[in-house]
Amino acid sequence: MRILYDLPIRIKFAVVLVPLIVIIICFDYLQIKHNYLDYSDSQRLNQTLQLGVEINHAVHELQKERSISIGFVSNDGYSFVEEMEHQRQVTDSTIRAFYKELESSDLDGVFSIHMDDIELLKSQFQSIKSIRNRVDQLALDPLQILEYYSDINDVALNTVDMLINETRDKDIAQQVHALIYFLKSKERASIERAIGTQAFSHEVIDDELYSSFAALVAEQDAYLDAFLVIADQESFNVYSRLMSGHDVGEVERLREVVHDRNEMGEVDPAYWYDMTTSKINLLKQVEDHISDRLLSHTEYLYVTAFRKFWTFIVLDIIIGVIAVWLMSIIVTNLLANVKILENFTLRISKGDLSKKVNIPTKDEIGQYAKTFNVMVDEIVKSHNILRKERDKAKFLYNNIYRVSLVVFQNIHQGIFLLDRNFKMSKLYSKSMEKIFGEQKIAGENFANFMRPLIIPRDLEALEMFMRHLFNEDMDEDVVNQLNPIEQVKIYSENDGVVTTKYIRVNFTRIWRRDRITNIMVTVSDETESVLLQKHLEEAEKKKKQETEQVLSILKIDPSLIRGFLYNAKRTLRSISEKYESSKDGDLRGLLDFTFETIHNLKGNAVVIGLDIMSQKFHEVEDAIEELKTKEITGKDFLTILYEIDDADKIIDEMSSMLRKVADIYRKYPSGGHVVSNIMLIDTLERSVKVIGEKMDKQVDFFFKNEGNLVLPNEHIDVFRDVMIQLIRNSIKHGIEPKDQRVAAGKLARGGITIELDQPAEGQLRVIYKDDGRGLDIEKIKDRAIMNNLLTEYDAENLTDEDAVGLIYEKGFSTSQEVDEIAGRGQGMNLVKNLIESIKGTFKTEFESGKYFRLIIELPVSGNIQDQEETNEVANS
Amino acid sequence: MSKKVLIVDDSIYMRSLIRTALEEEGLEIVGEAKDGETAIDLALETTPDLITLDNILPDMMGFEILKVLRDQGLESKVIMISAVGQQTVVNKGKELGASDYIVKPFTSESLLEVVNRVL
Amino acid sequence: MRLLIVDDSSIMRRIIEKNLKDYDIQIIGMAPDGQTALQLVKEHMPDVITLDITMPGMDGLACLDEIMAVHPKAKVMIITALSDKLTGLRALDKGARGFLYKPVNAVDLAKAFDRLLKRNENKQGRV
Repeated sequence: MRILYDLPIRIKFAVVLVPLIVIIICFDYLQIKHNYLDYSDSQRLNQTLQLGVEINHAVHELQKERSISIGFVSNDGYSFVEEMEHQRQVTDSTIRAFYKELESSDLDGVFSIHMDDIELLKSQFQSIKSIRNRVDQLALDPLQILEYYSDINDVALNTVDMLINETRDKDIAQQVHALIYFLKSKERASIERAIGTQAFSHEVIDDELYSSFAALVAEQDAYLDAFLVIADQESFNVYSRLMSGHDVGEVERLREVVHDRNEMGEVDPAYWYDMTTSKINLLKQVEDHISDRLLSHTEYLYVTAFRKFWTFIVLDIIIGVIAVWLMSIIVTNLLANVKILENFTLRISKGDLSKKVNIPTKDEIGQYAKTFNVMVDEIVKSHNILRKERDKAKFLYNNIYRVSLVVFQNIHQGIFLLDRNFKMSKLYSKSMEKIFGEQKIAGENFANFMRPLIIPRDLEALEMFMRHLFNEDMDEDVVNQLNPIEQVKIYSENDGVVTTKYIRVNFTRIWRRDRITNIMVTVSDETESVLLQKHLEEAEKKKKQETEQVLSILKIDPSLIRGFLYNAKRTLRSISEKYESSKDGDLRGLLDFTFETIHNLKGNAVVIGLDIMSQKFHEVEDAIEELKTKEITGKDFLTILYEIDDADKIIDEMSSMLRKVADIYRKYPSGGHVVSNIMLIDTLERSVKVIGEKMDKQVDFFFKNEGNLVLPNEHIDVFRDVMIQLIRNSIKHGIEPKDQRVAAGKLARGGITIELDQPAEGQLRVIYKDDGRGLDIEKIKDRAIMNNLLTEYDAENLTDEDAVGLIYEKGFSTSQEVDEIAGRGQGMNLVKNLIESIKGTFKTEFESGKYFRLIIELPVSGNIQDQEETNEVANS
Repeated sequence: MSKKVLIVDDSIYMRSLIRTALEEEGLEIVGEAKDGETAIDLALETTPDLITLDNILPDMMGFEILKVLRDQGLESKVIMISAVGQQTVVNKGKELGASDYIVKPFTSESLLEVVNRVL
Repeated sequence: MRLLIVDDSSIMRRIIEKNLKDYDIQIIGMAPDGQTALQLVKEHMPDVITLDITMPGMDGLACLDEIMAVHPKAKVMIITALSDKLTGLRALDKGARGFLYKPVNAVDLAKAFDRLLKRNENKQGRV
C-alpha cells in the first residue's frame, strides 16, 4: 500500500485509468464480437433458410414426382405419362434453383460447416436420374420408387434440419423445428398419398401395406402434434385456417375407408390422389407461409443486427474518442498544473521567492495556487523581517559581541560576571586563566573560588561585601569603598609552582530596570606595579643612603672631591675632544686611551670613596670592555659617549652640590695643606677599611708621621693615587686570608703602614709596607712569560732584582678579573708612572711570606714641616 | 394370464399401430379410447395393468387424465406418449405417477422395449 | 535635615561641622561617646548621624545597634580611620547607609552626604 501512496501523480492516474480502459476495451470487444456474431449469425441463418426453402421446394416437387411415378408404374406405363414428364421438369427447375442458391457466393460460412450434408444431398439429387430411367423401363415396383424417393427426401429434410439447427436465436430455432416437424409430417402425407393411390388402384390393401400406411399416418400425426405444440400462434392460426374444408375432410374419410379395408374398390384412386394432393397443396401453402415468415423474420433480424453492430461500433468509437479526448485534456491539465506547482514549490524550497505561480483554472489546484501566492507573500514579508533582524543581529554580533569576544581574548584584565548567587559567568576573559591559573572558573561560587587564595578574614568580608553589592538599597560607591579585595595578595599555584601575586579586583553593578542582575568583576594583575613600587621604594632608600655616604665623604675632604671633579671633568672633556679630532682614526687606540683614562678616574673615585662615580666609571669600563672583544665602528662609540656624558652630568650635579658644601667650608676656613693632609690620611684609612671589607679581609691601617711632615698640595693627588693603588694590591694579593695568616703564625688582622720621613732637606720619603706574603719571584717570572714580557730563556738568567722590576712593566698584571679594587692589569705600572710623573724614585723590598715594602723618595721644595699646627689647635 | 392394456390415442392409425405391436407380444388389449372421457370410463371399468396414454387428445391433455385416474385410486402402470419436444409435459406425468414415456413417432421395437421394461 | 555628629575627637567633630556649614543641615548635637550619642538620638531623633567606630566605652558598632533599635529610620554614616573593611561591612550589615574614611576633606564629605540623601529620594539612579 505504501508503494501506491508514494507513486508520482501521473503514475497514480495511470494506475487508476489503465485497468479501466483495458476493462472497457475488453467489454467493448466482447460486445462488438457479440453484435458481430448476432449479425453474422442472422445473416447466415437467413441464407441457410433461403437454401432450406429451395430444398423444401425441391422436396415438394420430388414428392409430387414420386406420387406420379408410382401411379405411372402401377398402371404399367399407361397413365400419368404426360403428368410425369411435366412433373420431372418442375422438379428439375426447383433442383436447379437449389444449385443456383448454392452457388451464390455468400454461403461460404454455411458450406464450411455443412459441406458433408450438402455433398450427400447433391449425390442424392444426382441419383434421381437413374431412378427415373428405371421408372421409365418399369423396372421398379411402386414400393421401391416410394423408398428411393423417400430416401432422397429424408436426406433433403435432414439437410435442412442440420442447416437451420445452427441458429442461436431460440425463438427462431423453435419455429424452424416446428417447420421441420411440419415438413416431416407433410413428407409422410405425401407417402400416404402414394401408398393410398397404390392401394386404391389394387382395390385391396394387404397387411404389410396397411401396416406401412398405419405407421405413416401415425407418424404424420405425431409430427403434426409436435408441430402444433411448438409452433407459434400465427403458424398455428395459419394451419387451422388453411387445413379445413371439403378436401381435408375427404382425406379423413378415405383414411377410414382404408382402415376398414372392405370398400377399397369403391374409391377411384384418382379421387384419392386428387384429394390428398389438394390437402398436400394446402400443407404446402402452410409451409410456404411459415417459410416466408421465417425468412422475413431472419431478414429483419439480420438487418437489425447489422444496424446494431455498426451503430454500436460508431457510437463506441465516438464515445471512446470523446472520453479519451476529455480524459487526456483533464489529466494533461491536472498534471501540467501539478507540474507548475511542483516547480514552483521547488523554486521556493531553493529560496527563490521572486516569482508567483499562475494557474488559471478555478479548481482546487487553482485555489491552491492562489493560497500559495498568499503564502509566498507572507514568507517574503517574514523573510524580509527576518533578514532585517539577521542584519541587525549580524551588526550587533560584529560590532558588539565579536568586539567583546576579542576584548575578552586580549584584554589584560580578568573580566567576568557574578549572578545573584555569586556564581561566576561562563564567559570570562582569557586573562582570568593567566591570573588564577588553570582553575575551574565558569559556574563557580566566587567566594569558594577565592577561598584558597586569600586569608579567612578577607573571605568573610568578601561574602558580606558581595551581599551588599547586590542590595539595591545600598549605594554602590559606599559599598565599593569597603571592597576587601580591592588590592590583595594571592597565592596561586601554577604548574606546581606557588607564586605570589598582587591583584586588584573591582566590582561594578549591572542593572536591568530596577534590579541588579549581575556584578561585573574586573581583576587586574598588579604584581609588577606593586613590585616596581616596592623596588622604587627600596631604590629611594638606597639613594638616600648613597647621598648620605657622599655627604659623609664630602664632609671629610671637599677639596679632594673638588679636585677630583675638576680633574674628571677635564679628563672627560679631553676624551670627547680626542674623539672629535680623530674621527675615522685609530679606533682601537682611541678605545684603549678611553679605557685607561676612565680606569684612572675610577681608581681615584674609589680612593676618595665616591661610590657613585666609581660605579658610573665602572659601567663605562664595562661598555668599553664589551667593545674590545669585537670589531669596532664609529657608531659603537656612541654608547660610550653616552655613558661618558652621563658621568659628566653626575659630575656636574656633584659639583653644584659641592659648591653648596664649599659655602659651608668657607664659613669655617682652615689651613690649606694640613687640612688636605688630614683628609688624605682619613681617606686612605677609610679606603683600607672599605677595600678590606669588600675583599673580606680585616686590615688595619697605620700612619706614622713623627716629623709632622706635610705633603705639598701639588703632590697630594698623585700621592693618594699611588697609595690607593698600593693598598689595593696589598689587600688583594699580599695580605693572606685570615686562616692562612693564623696558620703562618701571624696576627689574624693584616696591617698596612704608611710612614713619612725626611731623610734630607728637600726630600720626602714615603715608606709603604704590608705584612702579607711578599713577592714570589718564580710566579712573577711565570706571569711575565705568560704575558709575553720575556722568554723562558731570559727568565732563567734574570736576577731577582730584575724579576721584581717586571711587576712595574705595562701589561704585567695577570688578573683576569676586572674590578674596581685590583684594577685591570694596570696596578704597579700605574704606580711607577705616577711616581715618575712627579720626579720621584722608588725601591721595592720584600721578604717572602713576611712583608712587602715600597720606599718612595720625592723631591720637595720649601718647608714641609707643619708649622700651623698650633694655630689650628688654637682655632679649634 | 396375460396383462391387460388400455390404448388411449385420438389417432386411429396410432391406436392400430400400438394394438398390432402389443398383441404380437401377447398382451390383451382391453380397450381403445380416442378421447379423454372414453379413456377414463374404460380405465375405471377394465382396470388395465397398463395404459398407453397419448398426451394430446381433443378434449383433455394426457396428464389431466392421469391425474383423474390417480385421484380415482387407479394404480395401473402408465406409459405417456409424447410428441417431440414436450419434455415438460412428460415430467409432469412422471410426477403424477407415470411409469415411463415414449416419444412419437416411434417404432414397434422401441415401444415394446418400453412396455417390457414397465411391466 | 537634622544631623548628629558622634566622634570622640573634638577636632574631628569640628572638621565635620565646619565642612557642612554651607549645606542645608542643622546640627542638633555632637557626642564624644556612644552613651551620649544614644541619649541625643532618643531626645532629637535626628535624620542623619555621623558615627565614629573607635570610641572609648561603647564602640561604634555597638552604638549603631542601639541607635537602630530606637531609631531604625536614621541614616547613619560611618566616618572612621579604621581601614579594616570587615568592620565597615559589619556596620553596613547593622544598618549603616554611608561610609567615609578619615581623614575627611570637604569634597569627600559633601559627596558622601549627597549620596546618602539622594538615595532617599531616588532609590536608584541608573538604568
